[in-house]
Amino acid sequence: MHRALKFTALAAALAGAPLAHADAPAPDNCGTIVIPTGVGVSSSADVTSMNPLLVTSLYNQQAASLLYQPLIWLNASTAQIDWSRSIASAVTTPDNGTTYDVTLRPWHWSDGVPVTTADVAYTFRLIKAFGTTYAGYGAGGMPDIVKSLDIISPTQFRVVLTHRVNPTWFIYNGLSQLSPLPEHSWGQYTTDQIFQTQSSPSFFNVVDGPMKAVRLDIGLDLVLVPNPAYEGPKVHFDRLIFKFLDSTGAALQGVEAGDLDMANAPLSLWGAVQHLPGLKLTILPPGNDYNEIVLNFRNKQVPFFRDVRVRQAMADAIDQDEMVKLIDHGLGVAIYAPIVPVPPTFLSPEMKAGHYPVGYDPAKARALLREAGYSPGPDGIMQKDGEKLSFTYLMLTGDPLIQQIAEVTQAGLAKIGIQMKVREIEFNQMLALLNNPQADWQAAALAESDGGYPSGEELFGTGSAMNQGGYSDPEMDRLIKASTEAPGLSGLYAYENYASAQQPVIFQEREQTVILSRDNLHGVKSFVDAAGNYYPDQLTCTAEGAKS
Amino acid sequence: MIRMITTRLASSSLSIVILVTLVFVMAHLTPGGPAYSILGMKATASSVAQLNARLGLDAPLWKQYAIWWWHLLHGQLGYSYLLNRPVGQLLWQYERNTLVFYISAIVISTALSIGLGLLQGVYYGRWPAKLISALQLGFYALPPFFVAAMLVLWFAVQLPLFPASGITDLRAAHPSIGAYIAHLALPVTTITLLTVASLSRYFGEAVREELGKDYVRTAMAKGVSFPSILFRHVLRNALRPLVTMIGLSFPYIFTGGVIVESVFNYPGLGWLMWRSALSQDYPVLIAIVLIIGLLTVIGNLLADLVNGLLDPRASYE
Amino acid sequence: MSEQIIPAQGLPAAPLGSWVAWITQRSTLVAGLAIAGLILFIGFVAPFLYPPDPFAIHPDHALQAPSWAFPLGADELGRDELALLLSGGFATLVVALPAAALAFIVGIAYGLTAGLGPAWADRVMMRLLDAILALPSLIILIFFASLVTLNDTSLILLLGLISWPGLARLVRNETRAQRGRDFVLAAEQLGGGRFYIARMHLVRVMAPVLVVNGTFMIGDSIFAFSALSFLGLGVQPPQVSWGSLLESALDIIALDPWWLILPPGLLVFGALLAASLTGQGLLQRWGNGR
Repeated sequence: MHRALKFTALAAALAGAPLAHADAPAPDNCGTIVIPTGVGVSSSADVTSMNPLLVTSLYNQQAASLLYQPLIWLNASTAQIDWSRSIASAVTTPDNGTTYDVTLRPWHWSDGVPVTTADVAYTFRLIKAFGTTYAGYGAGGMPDIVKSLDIISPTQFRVVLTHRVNPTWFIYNGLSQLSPLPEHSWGQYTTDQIFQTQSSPSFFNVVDGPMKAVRLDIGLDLVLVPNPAYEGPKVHFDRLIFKFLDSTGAALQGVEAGDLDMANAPLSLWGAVQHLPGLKLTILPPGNDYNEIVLNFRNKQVPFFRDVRVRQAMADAIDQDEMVKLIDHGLGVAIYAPIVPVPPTFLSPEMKAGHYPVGYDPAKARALLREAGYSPGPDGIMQKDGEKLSFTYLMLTGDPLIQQIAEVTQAGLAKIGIQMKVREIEFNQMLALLNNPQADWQAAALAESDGGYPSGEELFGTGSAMNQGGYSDPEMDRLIKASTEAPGLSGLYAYENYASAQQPVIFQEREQTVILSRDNLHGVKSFVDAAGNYYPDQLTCTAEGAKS
Repeated sequence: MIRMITTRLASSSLSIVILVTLVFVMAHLTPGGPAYSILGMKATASSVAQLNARLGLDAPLWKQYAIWWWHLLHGQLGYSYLLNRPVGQLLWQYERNTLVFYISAIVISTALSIGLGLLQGVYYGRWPAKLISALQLGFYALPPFFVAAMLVLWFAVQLPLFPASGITDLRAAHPSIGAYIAHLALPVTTITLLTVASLSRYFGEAVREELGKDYVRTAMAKGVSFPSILFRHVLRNALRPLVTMIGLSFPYIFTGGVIVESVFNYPGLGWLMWRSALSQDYPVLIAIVLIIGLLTVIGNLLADLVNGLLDPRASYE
Repeated sequence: MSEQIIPAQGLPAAPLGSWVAWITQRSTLVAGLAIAGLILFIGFVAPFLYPPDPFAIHPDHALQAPSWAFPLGADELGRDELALLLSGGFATLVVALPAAALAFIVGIAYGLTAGLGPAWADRVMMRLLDAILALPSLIILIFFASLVTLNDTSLILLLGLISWPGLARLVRNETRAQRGRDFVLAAEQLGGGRFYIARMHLVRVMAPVLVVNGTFMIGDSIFAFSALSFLGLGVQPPQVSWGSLLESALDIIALDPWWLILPPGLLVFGALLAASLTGQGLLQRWGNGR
């Protein structure tokens, strides 16, 4: 489970997940709850910033989302908007896609000042001031897609776009970024100052979310307390501490020793976490992320990546169901397209029926390679005109799960004559390589999120921000444009089917998350949704668990 | 004496400048840079460029180098854009932890070493000394990560006596001193075991040498009691080289051991150095290296000075 | 009580046969060489004697304790730990030993050059050396490891950077000391070039010191490589080394995987001990140089 997550919608929400509390007796106060960052989603890492506009990592995002209530709450598990948790009470688009009128509900900052549209306008000004270093730049077309933002009243504002787009797409991915920020508190600072105080709790003393930051010990932990003026559902604890951990082992150790109240159970150690005294396992439904192999289309040493038949053969050579069984112990889901099958809200009809253009079929894979003109060389590796089907695959260090995926992938490709060499690399180095168009890399193992409305404008459009491999296909561009502009879902479906057939990256299975927690901590399943958003009000404890 | 000090200072300053330059160049030559760590997956070509411009990382290397010295001479160590804190503040925060850790270890090691060294010197040639000698060789060869791992295995996992990581009990609103001590137990034991091996050997040698000297024989002949000779004279004289050794280990006191701190997840300066090297947080890394360089030099100088004061016959360089 | 104060002159003669006496008088050296032999066997010979593939995954046997099928148990991916250990040993030694040799040669060359050269060159070289010595080796390693592709060759070059400064300083001091001696002056008088003098005379005189330090450098090299692997920057997966095996074991230490921690740790310890004992033994035989 790695930290590389794509970030499309800034609306990190308290969930509207159905409150299934069958297991929770009268909620007693839990006292202090200590959990690692990333619990429910991925491995743990540091929080280094709490500014919602600058949070570029999952962990920072999660911290910021507990402090600031979003304009639009997206329930990632159902892919629906939860209006009861949004600051916006209604969004209408009278001209079906170009103009959006937003009404705010009554809401207040922790110092009593009402949240108004002036705060939304302030957010928009800041977004533009940060330019490309703004964390959500480009998602949903923001901010350049906005022609004007007009304040109609303290509770109503209007956004006019440069052209008509698909309303669902813009509301989910773009409009949701305009969460109000406290102008009366931040307005006195320059953007540089705001940049430099990203990790100082004292800067974030005016919030409108459920929690308030008390202390950030760099490299160690983040201490939060409930916001007493919060107008949403109340939490049942006195302090929430996010611990930053270095390894999956440390998380496991922490829960066993009682230092942590819950942590992700490493699937690689499945057997060992089954019967630990005083602890229980909660299996979460599949999340919004998928694993992938990103291919470098610019690298002249691997020109075969440009042949769609080779890519399809690669996808067909990998037995994802076997990987789910072996590596994830059955707790995972096979993925063949840039959208995960759960929830099925945005799946194309073909996908809903389980039909994908690719799937495990080694015979078909070999046939595809033959059709593309490849034949086995003397060393067993497929080759054509002296060009061998061999490439180097970069993977992040430190995670047994990633390593296992690499090894099974390597074995599967070897069976159809494709040689994959593995190189381990640090996160920083990988990003540096992937984002440098001249850098020499061939393939890399990453993860992506299909969050919000899963159009591919950031991923697979020619020249788009997250298109590290340099994939470019006019048909793909056309379909992506249609998915963001045409009304209804048919545009999205067409894009999804095409992306699955084209395999611009090789989509791979994704493990589910299992949480290991104390027996008397309840509500774990509804505490985190498919995008990793936290719902702290869902956590309750029974009597003996209350510690302080 | 004064001239010696000034010459040494001058040449040591040159060493420090070379050191810092080397690290500066190496750090900036490493591909990537902090922009990627800061921006994470949003590190596109344009956002990296914009961030680099904001951070001043797009200036030519010589210019960045000059600016860095300029800030340094004004007492500013820089700003960590990765961790969003001034470097000085960061260093102090982590340094505190390393100081507690290492000073405890050094104090305990020194006490143990003196005891073992005395035994080794006094019983030279007989089995207690040989046993100690064998143990010293053995422990000296133990790799720190192995010792740390075994201690965690035995005393944190198999027998849950001590915590395996961290610095204190996070859950308590006001953690007790006991919690801090419990978290220090295993890391300090690791370092102590390794340090005692070499320190006690050094001290044992010194004691043995002292015991062979004329004044000891003379005192014995005159009927002075052995314990009195041992503790009043031999100990004091043998302590000198020990002081030198401790002085030479100064830099380690301040930087901690990267390996031990990372095994125990102990947030000290060594741990910070490792993290900032990995994420290319240049300001932090260079500041730490600068401190190491300074301390090595100062440590050497002080050790030589102390030696010189205690024994005018000692010569330098 | 008084006999205890006067230092004993060497070890008492052993009452048993002369070859036992020979061994016990050199016990340190013998012990060191014996362990070294064992380590070399484990690293260079044993991997070819033990058939199972170290990299084959057996998920059903994940984290199995030692048994007949898996003499040293299996790791979290179900790989045979003994096979991994042997493979790791080969990987460790095949990099660490040449690296030590490289450091040895570079250190001597640098020290001789500084010692035999003109005074200004000596001063510059020594100041540079001070700077390099002050740098924590770990930082140097981390930097270069992130700059270059880590294969055997680059690792050897990288590790060669570790211990040569110490040796260089030693060699330079010795050279300076010997330079004023009669035999050197005589050789110069007879027209011997600096290089000739270095080779023929100085190295011979310094040989004992060099050998002793060389053995310690081997230990340093093995340690540095294990530490580097432990921190994640040594061998590349799926290749393992003793350091990387320890690191993966540490990650799951909560599950008490003693069979994954003891063997690699003991082997690194053994290698370092061998180097230490051998060096110590040689030191005892030859005295402290000079």
